[in-house]
Amino acid sequence: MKAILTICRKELADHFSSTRFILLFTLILMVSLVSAYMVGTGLKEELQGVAKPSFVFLMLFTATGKLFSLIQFMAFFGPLIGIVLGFDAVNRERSYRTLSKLASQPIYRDAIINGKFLAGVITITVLILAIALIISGIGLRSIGVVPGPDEIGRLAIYIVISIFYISFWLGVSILFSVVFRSIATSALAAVACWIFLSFFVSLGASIAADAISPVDQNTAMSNPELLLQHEQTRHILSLLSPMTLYSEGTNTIMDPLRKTTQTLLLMGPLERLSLSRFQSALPLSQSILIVLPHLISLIAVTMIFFALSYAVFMRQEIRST
Amino acid sequence: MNSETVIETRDLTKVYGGQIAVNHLNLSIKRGEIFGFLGPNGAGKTTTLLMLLGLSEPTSGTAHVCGYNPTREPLQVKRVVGYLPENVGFYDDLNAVQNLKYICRLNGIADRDSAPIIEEQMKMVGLYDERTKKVGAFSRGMRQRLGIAEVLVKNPAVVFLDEPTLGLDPDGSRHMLDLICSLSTDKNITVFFSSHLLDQVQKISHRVGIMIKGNMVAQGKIDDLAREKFGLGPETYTLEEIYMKYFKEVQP
Amino acid sequence: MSHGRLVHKSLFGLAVLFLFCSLILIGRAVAAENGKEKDTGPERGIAVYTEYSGMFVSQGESVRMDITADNKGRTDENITLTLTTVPQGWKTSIKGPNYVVNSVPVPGRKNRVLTFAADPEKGIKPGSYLFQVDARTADGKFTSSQTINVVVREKTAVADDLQITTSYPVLKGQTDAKFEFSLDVTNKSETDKNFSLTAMAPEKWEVNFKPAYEQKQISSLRIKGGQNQSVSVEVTPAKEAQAGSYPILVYISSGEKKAEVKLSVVLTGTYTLDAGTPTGILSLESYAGKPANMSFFVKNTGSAVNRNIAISSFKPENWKVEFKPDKIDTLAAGEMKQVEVTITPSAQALVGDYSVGLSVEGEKNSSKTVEIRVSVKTSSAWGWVGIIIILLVIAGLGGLFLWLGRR
Ligand SMILES: Nc1ncnc2c1ncn2[C@@H]1O[C@H](COP(=O)(O)OP(=O)(O)O)[C@@H](O)[C@H]1O
Ligand SMILES: [Mg+2]
Repeated sequence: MKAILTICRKELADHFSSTRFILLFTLILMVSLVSAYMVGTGLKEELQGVAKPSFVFLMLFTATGKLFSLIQFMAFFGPLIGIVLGFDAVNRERSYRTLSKLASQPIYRDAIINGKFLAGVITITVLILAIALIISGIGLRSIGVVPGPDEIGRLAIYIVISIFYISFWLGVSILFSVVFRSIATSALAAVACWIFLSFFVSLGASIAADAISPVDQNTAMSNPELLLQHEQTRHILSLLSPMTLYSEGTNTIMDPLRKTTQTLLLMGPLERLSLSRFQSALPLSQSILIVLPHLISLIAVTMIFFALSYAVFMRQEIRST
Repeated sequence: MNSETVIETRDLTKVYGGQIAVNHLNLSIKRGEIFGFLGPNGAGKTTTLLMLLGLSEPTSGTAHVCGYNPTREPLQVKRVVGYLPENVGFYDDLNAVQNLKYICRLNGIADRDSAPIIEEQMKMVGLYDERTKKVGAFSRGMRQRLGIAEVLVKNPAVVFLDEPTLGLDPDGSRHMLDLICSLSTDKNITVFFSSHLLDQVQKISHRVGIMIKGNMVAQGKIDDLAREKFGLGPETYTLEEIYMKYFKEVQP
Repeated sequence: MSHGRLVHKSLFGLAVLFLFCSLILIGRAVAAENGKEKDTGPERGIAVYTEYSGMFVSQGESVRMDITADNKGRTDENITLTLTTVPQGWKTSIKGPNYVVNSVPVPGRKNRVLTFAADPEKGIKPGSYLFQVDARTADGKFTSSQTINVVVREKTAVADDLQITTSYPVLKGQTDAKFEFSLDVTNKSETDKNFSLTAMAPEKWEVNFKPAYEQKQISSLRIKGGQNQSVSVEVTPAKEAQAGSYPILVYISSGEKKAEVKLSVVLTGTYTLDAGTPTGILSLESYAGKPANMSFFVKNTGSAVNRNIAISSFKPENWKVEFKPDKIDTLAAGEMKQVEVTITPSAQALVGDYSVGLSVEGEKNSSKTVEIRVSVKTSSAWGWVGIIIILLVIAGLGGLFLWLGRR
């Protein structure tokens, strides 16, 4: 355990002194600051005269401002943080020829990969917390809203989901860094994977949904069931993308009025009427239960990728050449 | 020299997917001994070292280092063995002291205790003046010496040096060999080193083992080997000649 | 030509008018001539007479009537009037417009009208009382007298003096209605009177008197002698009054005189229903696809028996709402029945608060709808499944650690 902490400490020091990480960190921090500031000033104008606005605090994270919301930004570019933190975790040791030396110290071999993963997760946590706190600070300063316990709970869950989401990408890139001896290869593979999972899966999901349960414009109007089936197919397929998992999960947890992670629902007029009667926010526990599948999928997939890289690393030959 | 056996292997074998890297190796090395491990590239020297360290699992056979089985008790073995890998690498963006400090931490030596040890070792390998320089700026000879210092910070009973003189200029090589000699003579450390450079092995080894294609073809004092093969005294045959003779026997 | 004819015409008109006037004048002269000729009555003569010579009055009632002193001769006379006979217990007098008088000058062939007044003292007994008035001339040569027989009768009921009439003595309506009767009160006596108004109604009923077309509440009214006035009686039945016929007695009294009238209100009963929960909590938690139970009461808050009360629901599609019982055959006034309701949200229901309306509908448009807030929750069973998945993954990871970790 001590060895893990020692390695973790060294890795943390490496992360926080590596130029590429600092560059990325400042970039993301700046983007978040700018977007939060814009959202904050926008909200301030909007809320003038509103007696008791609810969940304003969360809007700092979810409101789209001029370009994008923080959540969207994190969904798109959060993976880059994970990739940057992990793509050379193991193969850098190889290319420096330090791996066999490291392994010959009185430590279990898995301390190396555990320590690296832990350092990555800690870095991600620090980063997310920093962003969340800074935005909260800006929110407090510019619009003067104090978050309630419910909002803090939601924010905490958002932070947890974000940590797992980025950690998933850390796991993926560490796996590549174990599998590929070349740093450049693993970096490219991770980025390719990111682009594929984030951008092409959703595209592919619509195409596949068209193929599996086709709808054309004419029948769609008369047969909503068909449209729904199409949408569900698309939805399920698009959930293969961790970005979709993350976006849906965070959007739902950050918006207490959202009652489902789905985008399209078949709802009768009476049901709509009945549901719109009480425009009430969901209690936190219910929101959690709604996003639980997403959260669990993310956690599980993150752990699985970590386990994969762990297994591959442990079974690999430790040899400098 | 006492007669305590530090390294012992019995039919140690490693097979890489049908290719035998180490074949039924039997070794016995005593405390304080300098054992030269000879063989051409790909002979199985590194594989043997890795197996002895527990970094690679033997396909069959057993090994004992200081009484520990490297496969079952890798931590104990690693605690007493210093290993200098072939072409040792360092964290180039850290300086020499930081590199050593990290190794000390991994060995459970607190920073407070490690500082004098590091200082001592740096002095011993003659890199004290360069201790705050980034290792990336080190020459090959300095790196090898730093590697020796790194091996020694944990105060090992045994050191495994994999091709310690590889790529060094003659002066550097001589310096390195002196260092290795002093380990045995001053600290009674068992040195198990591999090389394919025969004259160096000849110079410092008490005993040598010759490995070709995973087979230990000869083992013993150089004089004995010369006598055994040729019936001649060591003053007339160099190790190289002995080696070539064995080599030709294996590869007709 | 035409001009000449017009002149001729007007001349003719004038002639006719002249003739007419002279005829009238001649007629009058002839009449005057006849009068003078007839004025051949006695030299002197007087008479005295009262308006009535016999009459009935009720106990305590005063008598007022004209008394006339008549000079029948041609000579002017001074006539002295004296009440020669006055029965015990009466005070009498002869009055002019201003004074009590005992003699009056009357020119020849003229008469003077005075007033005879007789007021009984308190406690006058019923019976016949005789009065006599004598008149004589100043020299006493001529006299005349007149007797008046007043019969005092025991005071009998009212009717004679006070009369109440109503056109609609029976009104019909629901318990929650107000009933307004209109009474016509006639003061048949000569004098103005105050009448006090009281009523007797069933307990908790409210009866108010009001002048017609006015909103004031009154408890008495003044009616001039011989006039009538209408009063409205507003009756508010007790809330819990059951259907049926209820008498309301209205008394109008003035002093000892009393009149009563019997009014009736026929309540047909009200039809109102109430529904709700005993605790007042109208919310329910349920899980998608899982039934949730609650109970509510149906109460007949009307005053009539309500029959065939149907219970229905307003719910989202694919939801199931079942009632036990699903209808109530009879519910007596004030009675309460419990209904068990089972609400099953559709399996696809979203998490959140849905509104479900439960309505009970009885007779005569009586209905009540209760809105229930159904909070659909996600079953935490899936949460446990998720946690089990995570635990499995962690266990797998742990196994991996154990298998590969100790190297
Ligand atoms: N991971 C590996 N997979 C397959 N073959 C290997 C692996 N590592 C080493 N070998 C083979 O084992 C043999 C011994 O290699 P090695 O011990 O590195 O030789 P040396 O160190 O004596 O030059 C070589 O023939 C090499 O090709
Ligand atoms: Mg080698």
